[in-house]
Amino acid sequence: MLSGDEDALATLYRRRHAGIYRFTLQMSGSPALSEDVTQEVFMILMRDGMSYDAARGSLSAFLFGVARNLMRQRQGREQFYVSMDDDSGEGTVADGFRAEHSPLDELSRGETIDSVRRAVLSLPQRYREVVVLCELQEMSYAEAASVLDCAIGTVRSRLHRARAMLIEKMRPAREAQSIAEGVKQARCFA
Amino acid sequence: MNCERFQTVVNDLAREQMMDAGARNDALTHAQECEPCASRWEDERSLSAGLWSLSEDMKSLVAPPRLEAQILQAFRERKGGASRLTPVVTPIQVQTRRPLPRYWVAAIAALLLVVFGIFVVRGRVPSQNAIDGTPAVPSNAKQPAEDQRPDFAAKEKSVPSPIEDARPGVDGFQRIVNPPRTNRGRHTNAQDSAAALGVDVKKDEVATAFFPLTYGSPPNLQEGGQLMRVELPRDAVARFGLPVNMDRSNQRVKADVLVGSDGLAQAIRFVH
Repeated sequence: MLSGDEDALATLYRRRHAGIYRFTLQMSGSPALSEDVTQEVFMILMRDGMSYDAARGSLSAFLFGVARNLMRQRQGREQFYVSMDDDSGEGTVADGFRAEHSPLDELSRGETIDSVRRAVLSLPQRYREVVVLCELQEMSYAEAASVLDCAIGTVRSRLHRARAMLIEKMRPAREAQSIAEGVKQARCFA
Repeated sequence: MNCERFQTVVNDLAREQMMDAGARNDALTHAQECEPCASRWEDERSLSAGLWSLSEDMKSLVAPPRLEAQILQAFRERKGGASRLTPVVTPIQVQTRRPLPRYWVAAIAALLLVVFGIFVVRGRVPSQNAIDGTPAVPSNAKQPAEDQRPDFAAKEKSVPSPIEDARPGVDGFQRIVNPPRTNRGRHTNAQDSAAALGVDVKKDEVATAFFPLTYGSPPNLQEGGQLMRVELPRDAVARFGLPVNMDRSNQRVKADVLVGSDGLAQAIRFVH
């Protein structure tokens, strides 16, 4: 790609862009922002590709690191936190977080996904990063540490804390869901 | 397995990470026996299931196709502009064109500054060579060994008896010889001045270099002057940093004094 091969860039883009796009979407909840950041990541790769050092980490970690830095810059200007209490039902930036066509039509599963999505977006940035990378992007501790430029132990401790926070945030939703399921069952037998 | 240990492994257990089989079994057994840990275990499992569902739900999400088109278009424009101005850079060439790290630039700048400072300082130090063409003996210079020091008394050779002037001396000076005035040639150092005056050390005499007696510009006899042979107390030699044989401290030493046209002594050398 650095030598001007367009096919190489196309191949690289098709192989890497989806993970970058989903990462930025999971971090921000905004499709528009995710598109901008994804495009900027590859523009930076075209412009400053010589700065990538394979000895320091994989290309994937490099691209995710660039996307992370761009997200941090933009989050200084815009707020993308979603309150767990925001049940207005109106369109929010988090609406683009869902796939248009859910493979499962069960209400409980959809509600669970929504609940988890909102809980993740409500986390502070440094905890949200580790959840997105380790849980949603399914990266190992070492890969996540390379992206975040921190120690593996830091990733583990942050993830431990982030999961505890997510459990606390989701507890009322789970309790409400279990009550609703009990009411439905009662109706079934009515 | 206790509750504290269970708290440290429950994350990896719920995330189905690789862990010791024995520790895994112990943790599961403990979760069945301890109610708080069982509740924590259930919460962690539910969370992991929810996160997994969210991850699966989003795996179909990709950037819109127009994004790829925009990026490729920008790549073509960039490549076209670069080809008009500069040749295509191969990856190998790219690797060698990395910008110099900032600390190297700072180190080079500091080194240049030090070298420049050394040149400035050396240029300001007045050179002793300007006085007599030979390096002078500084007062703190390393003195030769005791047995190698020139002892004026030991090297005393027969010299013609000086003509004593009737006028009394000042500060130990005795005007011994009053050589004729010099011609008014241009002289820039004391040694040349002495030569121009026609008064130089004799073949059987040994002399030190001229020591300047004035600060500032070196002795200059453009206006004329004279070289006077004087005798001084031996301790006068020590004032110029030269070694003195204290056994003969009561004896006198000969010296040539370069006196300018203003009557002020400009330089002195000791003769033996």
